[in-house]
Amino acid sequence: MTAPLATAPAGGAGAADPATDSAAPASPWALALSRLRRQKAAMTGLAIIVFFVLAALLAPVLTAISGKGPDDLDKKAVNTYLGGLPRGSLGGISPQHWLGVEPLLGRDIFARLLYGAQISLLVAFSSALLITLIGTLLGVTAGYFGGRTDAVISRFMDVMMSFPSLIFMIALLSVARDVNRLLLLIGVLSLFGWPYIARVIRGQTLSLRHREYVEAARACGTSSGRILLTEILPNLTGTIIVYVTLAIPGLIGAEAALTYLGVGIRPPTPSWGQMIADSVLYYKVDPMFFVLPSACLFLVVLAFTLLGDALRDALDPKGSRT
Amino acid sequence: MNRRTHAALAAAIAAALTLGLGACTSTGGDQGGDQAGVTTEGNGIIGGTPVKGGTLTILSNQDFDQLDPARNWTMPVMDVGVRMLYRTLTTFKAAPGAEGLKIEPDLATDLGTPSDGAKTWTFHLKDGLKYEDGTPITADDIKYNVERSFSPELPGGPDYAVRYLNAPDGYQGPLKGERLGKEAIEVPDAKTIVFHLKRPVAEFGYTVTLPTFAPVPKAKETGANYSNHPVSSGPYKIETYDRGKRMVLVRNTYWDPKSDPVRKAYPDRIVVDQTQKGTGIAERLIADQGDDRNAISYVDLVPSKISEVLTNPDVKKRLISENAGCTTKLDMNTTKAPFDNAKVRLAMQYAVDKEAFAATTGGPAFNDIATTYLPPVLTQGNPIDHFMIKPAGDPDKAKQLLTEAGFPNGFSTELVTSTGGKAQAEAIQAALKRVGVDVTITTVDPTAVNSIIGDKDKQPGLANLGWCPDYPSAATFLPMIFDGRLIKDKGNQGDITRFNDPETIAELDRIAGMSDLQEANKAWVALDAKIMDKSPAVPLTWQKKPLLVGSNIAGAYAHPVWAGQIDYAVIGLKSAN
Repeated sequence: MTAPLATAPAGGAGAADPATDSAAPASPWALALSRLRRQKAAMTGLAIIVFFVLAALLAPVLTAISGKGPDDLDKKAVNTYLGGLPRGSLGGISPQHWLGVEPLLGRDIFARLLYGAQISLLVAFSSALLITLIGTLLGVTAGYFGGRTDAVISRFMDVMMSFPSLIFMIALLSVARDVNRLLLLIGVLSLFGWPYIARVIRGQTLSLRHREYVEAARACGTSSGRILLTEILPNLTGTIIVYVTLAIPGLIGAEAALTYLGVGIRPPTPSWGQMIADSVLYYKVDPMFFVLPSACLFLVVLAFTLLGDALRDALDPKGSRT
Repeated sequence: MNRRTHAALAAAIAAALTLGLGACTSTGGDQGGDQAGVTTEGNGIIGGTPVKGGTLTILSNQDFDQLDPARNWTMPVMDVGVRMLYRTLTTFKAAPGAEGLKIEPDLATDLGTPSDGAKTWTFHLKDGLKYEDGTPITADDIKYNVERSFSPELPGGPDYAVRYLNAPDGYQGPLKGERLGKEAIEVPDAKTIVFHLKRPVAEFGYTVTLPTFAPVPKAKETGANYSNHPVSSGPYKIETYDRGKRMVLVRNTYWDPKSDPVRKAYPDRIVVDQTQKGTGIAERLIADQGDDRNAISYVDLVPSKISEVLTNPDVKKRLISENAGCTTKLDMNTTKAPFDNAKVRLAMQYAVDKEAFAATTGGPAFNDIATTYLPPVLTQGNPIDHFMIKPAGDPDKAKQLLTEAGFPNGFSTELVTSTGGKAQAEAIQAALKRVGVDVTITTVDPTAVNSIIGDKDKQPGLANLGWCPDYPSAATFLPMIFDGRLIKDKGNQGDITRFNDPETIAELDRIAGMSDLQEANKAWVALDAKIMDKSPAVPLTWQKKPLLVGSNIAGAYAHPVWAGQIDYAVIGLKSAN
């Protein structure tokens, strides 16, 4: 009983440290970071994300340890007579297959989850990056320059947003047969994702450009490019970061949906979406096959949502206090 | 009575249903329990003799390809057409097993009279035959439908009439008013029809079981729309048919049971619900509640439900599972490098893992490993093992052959399959990877598979299709899939390997001209072995067709001619209340 008592005050003191340090004026970034650190949910989210990113990066190492690659068939692990159901309980969990095997082919679920994480996270991160780049660039341009530029870009955004994007994605992905599906998937998701962030950025820029310091800079003869880079963009950083973290869960879900519809990554490369699509037929006879990839997708989406929420609060002190 | 398996495969897979394709009888190495394939319990007929009346429900996940008798050439659809909606000159007996392979007179009074060395065939129609509207069926109506099978506007049907009849070259069918002359089909009176063939066809009595030889009244011709409402000459007529959703059949009061030795027509109404999913159908029939007790499945039991059925004796009793008589193959595009090299193709025979492939389509319970092209039903029931390769393949031998062929490090190729065929494709992919062959799998919508594979420019190196005999004769098997003269640039069917071998073609023609069926059978088997050595395709599995029926169903059995589909001629209910 003494140990917990001892640590509790210590932790309390540790938490108080940043507050005492901040007797000296802290930068807004340091403030935001310390606010973020105090949020348990945010830290949990971050930990989950780090865990999955590490797992994805270390997939070759981890599968080397477990001894089963993602594409290795194991006929002995499934009961072919009963429609290829995994042998053993809980979807065939065994010392050879740490998280069991897929029905029919007997591929190792642990290995496929790890390699699936690579694809799912790669697609989500790359598309998020592209979306942010395009969205910020066009949003800032439209908002800052206004007039005809704004009109053209805004109408273009309207067109892209009112487009039946899912149908178009399915059509495009099924027509383009000989291209790299991974790149195409990233491209298509980005193409239809950027207008949402661009709109927000445009609105923010519109109000920012009438602020006094921007007016002052302009009066001093500062070039537009310089104003954009040094005055406007830094004030948009919070919005952008929050937007990215909130967009990533949606992108992971979209990749899963497209793969589920059969237009995503080519087999046998695993992705979480593909695994879930394969497993829905088996939810009753082999629930573990369904639960594992779904749980991974759920955790990552939840983690990003938590982190994004917390980031928004941390970067927008006024908002968090209300 | 043949079906083009690939079309059926694609359609079935459309609803994420993996067909229970057959695989190997001799699966060594599997340590689990009962190793025998699952067959229908009892004497092969479920539920005894039905009573008259009641409503039978057929649960399906797909529309019928074509019900137009001139275009109906996919397997279970032929069963629907020929057993319920239209009658043909002769038809197969309503019985399971070998008995079902025998033919009986249907519209005709006998099995046909050959003359001129089987080059001329004469059939006489029975008295008092009528359509659903009461008008009489005439011999000219049968001639008219045979002519329709020549029409480019009505594609996709059995082409036996086109192959066999002594019709002028370039005949384009009757839709523009041009009829066939006496040199092809003679109709001396309303009840006699005489077919004149290009060459002797000893089995023509079997050929006229095909829907091509069903009557179509010229006055009711609607061209491509005829599929929506074929005029009934059989025991049922279409009350409503909303394609892809629902078809309701009611009794055709003008059908005379006394004239029909085969069809019993027990239920009063038959409802086909085409909006279900493969898993949903299986779940409903396993649960067996309410009206589902009067229901049967149109589509194969999905692999994910197999364990539920086999471990539950009450449900297993209601499972029909007989050999479909089809061969599922890995087809290689013999016009495309490296598959233009026979050594490479031969290596594939050793490289594939038929056991793993079979596991993805229901495992040993519903598959026998195919060891040659001709299914056992065409080789007197004895499967022939040409190469004696282990079911799991022989990668070392395959590698050795690849090295001899100049590909010591393997090569890359592509396989196009439907979205539902992914697991099968992955089993092939993993097996070929063992010998250094990298397969890129492209999954496309099931409806697009045939158009891609049938197109010379788009066809990938590999495809995974199958073929079923139209009637129990190798003449409906090898000539349909290995006759190089049938290859088309676009819309190619049948010979999808584009295998064009003069020696094979000469032999096909020689056997086709033989009048002794025993000798012909021996020659087919010999030719089968020769083609295996040239290896345009790898036979993978001989499938069973697992179909569930409700507990109130009687007279349900798999008919050997319609790829193991339930015979709709004599199915009914145990109790009509």
